[in-house]
Amino acid sequence: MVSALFAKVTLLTRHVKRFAHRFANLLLSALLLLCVSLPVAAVPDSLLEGVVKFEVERGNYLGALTRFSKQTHETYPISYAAALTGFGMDKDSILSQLTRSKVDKKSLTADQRFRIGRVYYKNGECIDALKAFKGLTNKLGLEEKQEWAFYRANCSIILGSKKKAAQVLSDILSGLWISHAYYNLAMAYSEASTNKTKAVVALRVASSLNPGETRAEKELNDRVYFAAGSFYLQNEKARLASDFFKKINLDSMIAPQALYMHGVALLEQKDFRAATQSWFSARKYATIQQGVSEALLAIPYAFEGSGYTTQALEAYLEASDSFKKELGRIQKVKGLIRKYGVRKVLIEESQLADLEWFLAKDVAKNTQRAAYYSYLTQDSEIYDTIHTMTELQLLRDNQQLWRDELNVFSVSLKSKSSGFKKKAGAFSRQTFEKKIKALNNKARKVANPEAKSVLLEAADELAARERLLSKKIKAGRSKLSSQQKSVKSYQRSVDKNLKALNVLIEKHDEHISEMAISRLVELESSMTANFEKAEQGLVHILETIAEANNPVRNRLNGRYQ
Amino acid sequence: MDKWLNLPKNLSNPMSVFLLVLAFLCSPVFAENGAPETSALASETLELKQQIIDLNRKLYQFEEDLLHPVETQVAVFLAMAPDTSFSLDSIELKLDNTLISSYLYQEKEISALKRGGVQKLYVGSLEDGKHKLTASFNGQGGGSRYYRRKKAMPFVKKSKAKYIQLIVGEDKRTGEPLFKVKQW
Repeated sequence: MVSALFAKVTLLTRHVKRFAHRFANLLLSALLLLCVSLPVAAVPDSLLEGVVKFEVERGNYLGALTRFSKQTHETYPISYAAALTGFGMDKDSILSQLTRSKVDKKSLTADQRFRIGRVYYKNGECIDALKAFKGLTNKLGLEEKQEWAFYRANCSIILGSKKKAAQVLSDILSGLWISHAYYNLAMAYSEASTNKTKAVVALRVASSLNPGETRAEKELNDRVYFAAGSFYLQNEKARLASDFFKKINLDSMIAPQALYMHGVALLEQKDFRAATQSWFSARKYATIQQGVSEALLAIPYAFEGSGYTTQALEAYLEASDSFKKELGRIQKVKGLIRKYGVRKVLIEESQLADLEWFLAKDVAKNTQRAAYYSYLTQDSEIYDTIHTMTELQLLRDNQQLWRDELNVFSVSLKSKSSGFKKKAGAFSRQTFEKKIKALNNKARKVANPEAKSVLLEAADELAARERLLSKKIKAGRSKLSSQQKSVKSYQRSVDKNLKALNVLIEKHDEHISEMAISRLVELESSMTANFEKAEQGLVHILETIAEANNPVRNRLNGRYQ
Repeated sequence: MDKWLNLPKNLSNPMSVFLLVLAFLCSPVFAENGAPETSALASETLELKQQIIDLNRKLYQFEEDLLHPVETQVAVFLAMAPDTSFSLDSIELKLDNTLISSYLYQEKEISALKRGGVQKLYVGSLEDGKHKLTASFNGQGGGSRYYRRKKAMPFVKKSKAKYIQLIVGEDKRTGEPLFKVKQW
């Protein structure tokens, strides 16, 4: 009898365990679904600070601002201020972050002070920057030290002390930062005095400290050579000037200007032939570049000076023709900008049929479009507005990416939700409770106390699991529904931002287009003046030829006699 | 003399050369200082930027919560000792012999790492138990010597987030790169 009872109890226990196992599985799947809603673990502080710093230092400012909670930013005000600066945010909030970072001044490390100074510098606060930079002479790595010296020298120049700037740079340092600083110092010297000796010395140092290997280093060297050549030319040292001008790379941004100036320097040395060669080389660039226009007018002048009247006549005709064509092109570009806006005409990749001629690439680096873009961006307001518009376009891409991700989340959550409903539907609380009740009743009937206790324990455990499972299912259902709601709400916010971004991009485009048209009107009048000069030159030569052929001894021709 | 009077004035006048030089000379490189943005357009832009930062912050948090819950999360970070001369070219990460991440470094990123930045190389989900992370580092050490080093790290994932930090340094005596691992 006892063995039969035990057999029944064992069977029941197995049944209960199987039952519990099935529900445990259900519980597990419910838990897995719930897992998604658990909070993100806190990354250790030392790591988090480094991660924020990495994003800031590599220039991913939006990433640094969005990837970490507001609380994190407040813990690291220097990185936060640097990220806000990089992302072009409100200056007051940046300065307030810096003030917070300096609460405990004594505990600031050299690196922190350097970063505080850098943010001040980038926000145009030179006095505060210099204060933060003070006393860091032997406390920074080589790379940071170069940057530090650059900021200090520039601040000294801005605050009017070129002497202090020269002192800052007298430390044995080299590299692009220092070379830039010497270039700036040279410009400051040149503005302050008509004597260019100091400026030229500073330029020579700038050149010697620049390795000239990377693109940026080469471009700076070209600017240094151009400035040095120009200073020598102003001081009537044409030979030295031409030596500098000819060092400038032909693929540099300032190549057309350099070619023209090189020609001027050669002309000063009375070498008409070499001067015309240099100016001829400038003609391959776009006519709207000032150096090219000047070169076009200079060629006939040099021919005429050397007595080649026919060549001078031809060159004037060519110049006049080029200016006329360019005037027509300016008209067309103005019309296109009025019709499509600067963004479509000059900035974005465009497939518009009207633009085909404008986009044609005769020489890869030398498209009409590139020339006009480069001309317009010389205006700092246009440049800054294009920069902001590009930033807004990148933000639009970012929001579009989020919209796509949210669509994926929405589909995934929908499928999770239906799977959850299916599994939760299989679980009937009443049936489960009925079975537990039956198990309890059976256990009470068992006489053997040990077997009875095993059964009652199993029933209790099952009841506890059932309660937990019911709770989890309820929570899971509500969590999934809240996540779905969140996705919908985020989708609405992203759509709203996208709409606002599109409006703002349009407004920026309109603003840039207005500025561009007024710049093109200026260009048009200067091109008209060039055209008139070429025509005048032409008339002058024709007059000279006519006079030579028909000499008139008495110019007054009997009048007033 | 009369012959020259009607010629283009820009060449005969030294002042015009001077003006031209001034126009050609590029402005000094005073870094990224911008003029204060006061226009309505600028303030509208600032407002929208702030809205996007706030929304992105929430979206990023939501995505993290959804894709990498705390129980299953595993994240790998990379840092560099500030005084190391080793210049990292690339890194490959394998988790249980499956390639999970590879990264090619730019100069700016190396500089960011050397300045104390920490890169979040990988974040994913992993089940509890024993696992093996293998990192292959490629780069140039002192004397322009090229190195390829592999570091294998067995670890146990428990029911909470696992953080692994790889630190690139170098042996002061030999100048050879060293790779340390820190776990949380």
